[in-house]
Amino acid sequence: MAAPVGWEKNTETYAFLVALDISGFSRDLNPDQLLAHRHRFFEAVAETRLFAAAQAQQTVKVHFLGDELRLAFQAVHGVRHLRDFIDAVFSSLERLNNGVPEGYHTRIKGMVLTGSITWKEWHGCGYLDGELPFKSQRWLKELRPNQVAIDTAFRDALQVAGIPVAPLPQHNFGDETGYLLRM
Amino acid sequence: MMHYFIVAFGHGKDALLTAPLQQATAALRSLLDAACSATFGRFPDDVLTSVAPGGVMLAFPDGNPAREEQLCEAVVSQLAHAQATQATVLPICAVITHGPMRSVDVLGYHTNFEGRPAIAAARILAELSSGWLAVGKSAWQFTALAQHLGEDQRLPGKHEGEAFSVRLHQRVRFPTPTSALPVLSSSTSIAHNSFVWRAGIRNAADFFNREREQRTLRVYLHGRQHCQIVGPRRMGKTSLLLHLERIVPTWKPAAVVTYLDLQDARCFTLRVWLAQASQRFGTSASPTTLAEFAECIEDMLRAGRHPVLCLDEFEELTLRREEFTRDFFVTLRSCGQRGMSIVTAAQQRLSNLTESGDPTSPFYNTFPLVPLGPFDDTEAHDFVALAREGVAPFTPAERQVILAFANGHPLALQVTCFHVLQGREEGLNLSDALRRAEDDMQAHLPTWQAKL
Repeated sequence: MAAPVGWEKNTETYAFLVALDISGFSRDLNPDQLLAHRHRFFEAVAETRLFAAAQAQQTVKVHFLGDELRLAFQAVHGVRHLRDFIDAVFSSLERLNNGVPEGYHTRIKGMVLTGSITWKEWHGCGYLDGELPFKSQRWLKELRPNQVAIDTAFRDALQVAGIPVAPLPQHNFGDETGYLLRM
Repeated sequence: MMHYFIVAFGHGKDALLTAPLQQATAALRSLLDAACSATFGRFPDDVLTSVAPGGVMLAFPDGNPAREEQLCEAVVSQLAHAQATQATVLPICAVITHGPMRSVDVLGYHTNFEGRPAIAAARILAELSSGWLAVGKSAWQFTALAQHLGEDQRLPGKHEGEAFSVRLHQRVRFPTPTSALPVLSSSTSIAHNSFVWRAGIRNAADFFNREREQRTLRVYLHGRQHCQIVGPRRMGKTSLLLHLERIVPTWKPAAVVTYLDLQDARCFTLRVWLAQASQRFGTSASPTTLAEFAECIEDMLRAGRHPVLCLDEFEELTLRREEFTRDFFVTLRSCGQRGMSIVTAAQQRLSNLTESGDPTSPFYNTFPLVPLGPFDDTEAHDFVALAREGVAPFTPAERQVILAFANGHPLALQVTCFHVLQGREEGLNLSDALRRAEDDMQAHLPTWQAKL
């Protein structure tokens, strides 16, 4: 793994954007349920090895909006870690949903996109800027609960890293074709 | 949790965006910066922010709902000004809600608002059309807002609670691009006359020729060079700069072109100039110093963009040396060396605007010349012969007198064509139409003499 370099504000950085969305979150106005969903969701992310390592190395930036969590991991982490991260979040959520009534399970969907991302701030609010956050917002609307999409660049990177991925189902997102890592 | 008024801004679900959403949202943030500066002197310290793709939320501490209205009114002013100057009008809508909320840290990052008013604002915003300021139920009770609210409106969508209905503000309306052009209400039909000359030509269809100059400018800009357009008064320098603003992005998709009229009062002081330039560039920050402006340009360059700064009536800067000091020109030069291009328009060469001992003179040495003169005979003939939608072609006799009168001068061509067309409508003969053209030309260009 290359040496981590940290994030520099207002500087375009090559990274993986992981966007995860709590499915059905916005239909539920019950504050207790909202908080419970968020709690389980954040805990599932926080307990992954990748997130803990990236946070320690300051190679991840986080932007959360309503029900969508965006994590920008610098490319130093490698695609295998990203793929494992997705699996780990879903596994953790499955465990955290144990004992919760079926109708109140926290379910997520998401994606991994590859490209340039810029960490910016606007009057105290940090956010991820660039084409990818906008693309993730468009793509998320197309996904069903439990689905995880990846873009062509990430799929190619998985193949280059020797991680078997074929055949991944294709999904037409309008502006381009993506692949479903999880169905 | 503390109580806040939330004002959420977006573009509207029906927004006609002429730029990618990413740029439009950056422009929205700049617009809010400018509106806050105009209303409160600066962005208020006590306001919390949350940035999203396509919008922003501002949370004002409870206490004074008039502040939210004032901000929205300032946004209206900004948009109205853009409309009046025929600049790009950003589609905007907004919603005000109220209630307990907080700004929370998520996984160690402060990015999110938590609470019912934030959720309601997001849902309402998703259903609003551009132009509207909606007020959610939670904010209806506040007198300052209530006096301007209309009847209950049910929003579409599968929502519950507050997000199901709003009241639309009856006084604040954000100008939208679709209403940028006034609609003639008169039942009298008016013949189309596309010849204009009061200001630079802003309609792409009305811009004519200048192919040679465009080719030269394209080469310069391709090499990220500066250039100076020099020509006499009313020769079409402004129209050419405005045309560059439209066409350069088609030459170079990475280009971001900004036109500034230095005779505009908003360019008289450095502070407002910086705000104008950055707002037009659509930068997320609103610089107040030259260093911050340079940083904004640097951001654009790092993002792979090619900023192109078009400065019209450049002489104005040299007349305001106390405001635009050597530091200003040095900063522009530095931005240019890093990759920003500057295109100036002036009546004199830049070298003539400085004396040899002038400390700003090195800045001017890097601008190749693009002279702008009258149309040649072929160009002038083509201008008059051009088929224009809704305009009957000029007769051979009309063409002859127009060409002879105007002698290739772009302004004279516009003015003469206008009056010949107008004369047709009023039943004037050609001589009377030319007399009107002569009067108009004298008014706009006292030194001009017809070659009749």
